[in-house]
Amino acid sequence: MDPADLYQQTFRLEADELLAEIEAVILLIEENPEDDDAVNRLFRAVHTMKGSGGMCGLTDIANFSHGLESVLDKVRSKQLRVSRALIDLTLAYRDQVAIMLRADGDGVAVDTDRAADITRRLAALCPPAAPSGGPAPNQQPPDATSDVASPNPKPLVAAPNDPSVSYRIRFAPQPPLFLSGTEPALLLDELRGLGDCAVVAHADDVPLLEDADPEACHLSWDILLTTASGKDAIKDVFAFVEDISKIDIEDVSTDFIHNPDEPPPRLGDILLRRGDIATRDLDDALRSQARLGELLVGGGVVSGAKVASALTEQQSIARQQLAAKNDSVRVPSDKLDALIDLVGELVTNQARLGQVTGDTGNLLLQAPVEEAERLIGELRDIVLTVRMMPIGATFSRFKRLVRDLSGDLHKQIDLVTRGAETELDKTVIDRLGDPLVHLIRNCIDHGIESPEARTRSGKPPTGTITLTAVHQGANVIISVIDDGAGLDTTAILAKARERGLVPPDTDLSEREIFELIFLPGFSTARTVTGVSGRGVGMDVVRREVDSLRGSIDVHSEPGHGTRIDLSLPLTLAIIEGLMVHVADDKFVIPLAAVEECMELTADRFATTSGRNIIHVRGAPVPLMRLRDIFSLPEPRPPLEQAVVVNVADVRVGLAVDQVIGNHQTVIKSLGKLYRKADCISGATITGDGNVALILDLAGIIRSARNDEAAVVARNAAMRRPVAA
Amino acid sequence: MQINVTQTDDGSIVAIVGELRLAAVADAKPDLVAALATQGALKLDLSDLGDCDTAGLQLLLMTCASARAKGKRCVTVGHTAAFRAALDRVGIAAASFALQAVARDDGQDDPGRR
Repeated sequence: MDPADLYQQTFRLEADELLAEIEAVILLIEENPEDDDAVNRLFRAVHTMKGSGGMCGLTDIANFSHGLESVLDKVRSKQLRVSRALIDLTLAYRDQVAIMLRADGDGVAVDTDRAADITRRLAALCPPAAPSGGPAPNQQPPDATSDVASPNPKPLVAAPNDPSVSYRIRFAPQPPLFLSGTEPALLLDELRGLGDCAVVAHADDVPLLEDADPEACHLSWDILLTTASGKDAIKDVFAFVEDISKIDIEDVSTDFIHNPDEPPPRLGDILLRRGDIATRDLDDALRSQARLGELLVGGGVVSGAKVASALTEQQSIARQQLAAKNDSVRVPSDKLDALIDLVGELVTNQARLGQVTGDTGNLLLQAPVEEAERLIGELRDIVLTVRMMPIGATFSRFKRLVRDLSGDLHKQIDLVTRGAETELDKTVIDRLGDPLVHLIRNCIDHGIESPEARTRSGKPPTGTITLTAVHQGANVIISVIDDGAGLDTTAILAKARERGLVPPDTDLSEREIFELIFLPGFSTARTVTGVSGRGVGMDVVRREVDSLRGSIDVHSEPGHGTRIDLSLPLTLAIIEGLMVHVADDKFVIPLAAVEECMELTADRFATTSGRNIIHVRGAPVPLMRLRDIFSLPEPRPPLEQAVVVNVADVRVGLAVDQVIGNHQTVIKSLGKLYRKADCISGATITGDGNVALILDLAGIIRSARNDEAAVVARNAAMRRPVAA
Repeated sequence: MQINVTQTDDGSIVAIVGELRLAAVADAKPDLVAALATQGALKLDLSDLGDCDTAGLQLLLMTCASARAKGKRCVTVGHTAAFRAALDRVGIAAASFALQAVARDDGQDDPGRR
């Protein structure tokens, strides 16, 4: 690959993160325009976008970013206040850059007029006197403060693009300095003329008056000078004293400017670097030094508990800083996938090795094999955590969605997110984005009422959508909750009858009615809006969640709101499974769904009107035979076993020949041919090298229901008198 | 330059009047050494101090250092704006004079090094 392309590719990855940061931060600023920290973050993100874009040749993005950067710089220096216009333009900037990034990769034409328009409007935000890079604004924006602050003092830390360099100068004259006619104060004045200058005299080392020659110079100086004049200019200052002085000039810019955001280095580190103390001195001093907390507690200023609490806060800040620092290595996800695949193979192979070792009964082999099993288990756990990502980034995307959509629909909606730190497999997170968009759109469009309607029903005019994520066993439950009108079961049922999805005389439970909204093409919206009502959406949600081996649960209370829970597996790579045996085949049932296993004795088993039922502690549970589902050959063993599973509160018994036991299941996806197979979600390789299919329990239940509905419909048709 | 020494019950008050420059430091030394030899604290009154160059400042520093070495309480009073400006110009902290000596006299740690 051409190195330039490589840079651009890296930049695009970085740019996506920057755009996400820009969007998240501008929405923070919208909530609290006085948040200086957020303004600084926004500025840095735009500045980085400009710098990195320019560096890898995407000059249009760099130029486009420059306009916003200039405006944000004014906001930072309090010359300009945050306005609604600025927030809208920043969001427009973000969208435009996203388009420019994509266009650059795909060769799509960019609407340059739009970029120019944004630049022009951004420039119009600035006071006319300021150089804005755009055409002269013809109007004074109402929100721009006219009292422009005094220019910033020259910073000690050189700004990027500033040719200034910081030097540390050590000036140690010999005793005859004064008598040579040199006044050091004049030299120091000259240095101050070159740039920003900090002078420290070493006054502690002067000799005692009785012993000393008062006309000899016993002082020395450390000077920190930031100047654009260069080292030679500094040498010139000392030209007449260099014979009688020791002068060291060292460029220390890199110590200063590599990261202006970091706190300055600690005193001990500087002393150490300058060679004034040895590491041992520093360690000794630090050891003997009383901690601030101890000093304060000792002085009775504050209680120990308060200090402990403050320390906890400090540690927590440090942890957050560490997390924010993003101290990470960027790895292409296909490499990770390959790694997971290999670990999967390793786990499979280990299972085989364990089985062979057990069969041969070789005791010498047993210990190392068990050790390998332990190590591979640890390796598997770590590799799986590498793919884990907090869901927060996905959540923060929705802030924008809610803001824009609620504005379009003239509704007032707050989005509250909880559990953003909850971690999920990257694949799950990636594929979760679209279903969540649909769910949230539905909340905004159908769920939350207009402010007037809300006020009429005694609710606050602003609705709330809550997005939460929590761990629950091997699953993560993601909930989308709104405090809107709730699902209208009557309307849903009427619509379903109208469309022939439900026979006219059947009664459905509330849960069954809620299920209807997931049918393809189902919508109760009276008008089709740009947001929803086209009947595309909830079925997509269902399909995607199913393909992620998850489940959906709907709760709704009329007038109070709706809650949709998505239960998703933590990972798609490896699951805990229950291995069962039917005929010559093995199947894996996801262990999380298994409630219990039992023998299918005659007293538990009953057949009523062609349906098989088992009694599980007094309750009748429908029973399905895997042999029937997969058309496996007879004969059945004299005593079958049943595995009772629970999927979204539906209990079903699955009859199998034999329950083998727990199995660490490395999931292998099946080829395209099997994508539409209803009852299986994947496959795994067993210890003896055979393939076992992983059951898709939701699919099994669904297809059983469809069969059932078909039987009911056929029976009904047969009972109906035939018209002539 | 003129040095006026006044003895009090607590010690000596040394008032330095006029310019304190390189040309004067050699003359000033014996008076200051004599003041250091007296009993009690040493108070350097700088309220009438005129222009002071680096050699002059160094002389004051050495006086304080000597007092410190003798375990004598040594304070400087009457820091004029010109004196502070002279200190700033050559990068000497005002604390280099009084605080060290005072602190040592109180038997405490040296706060200038904290």
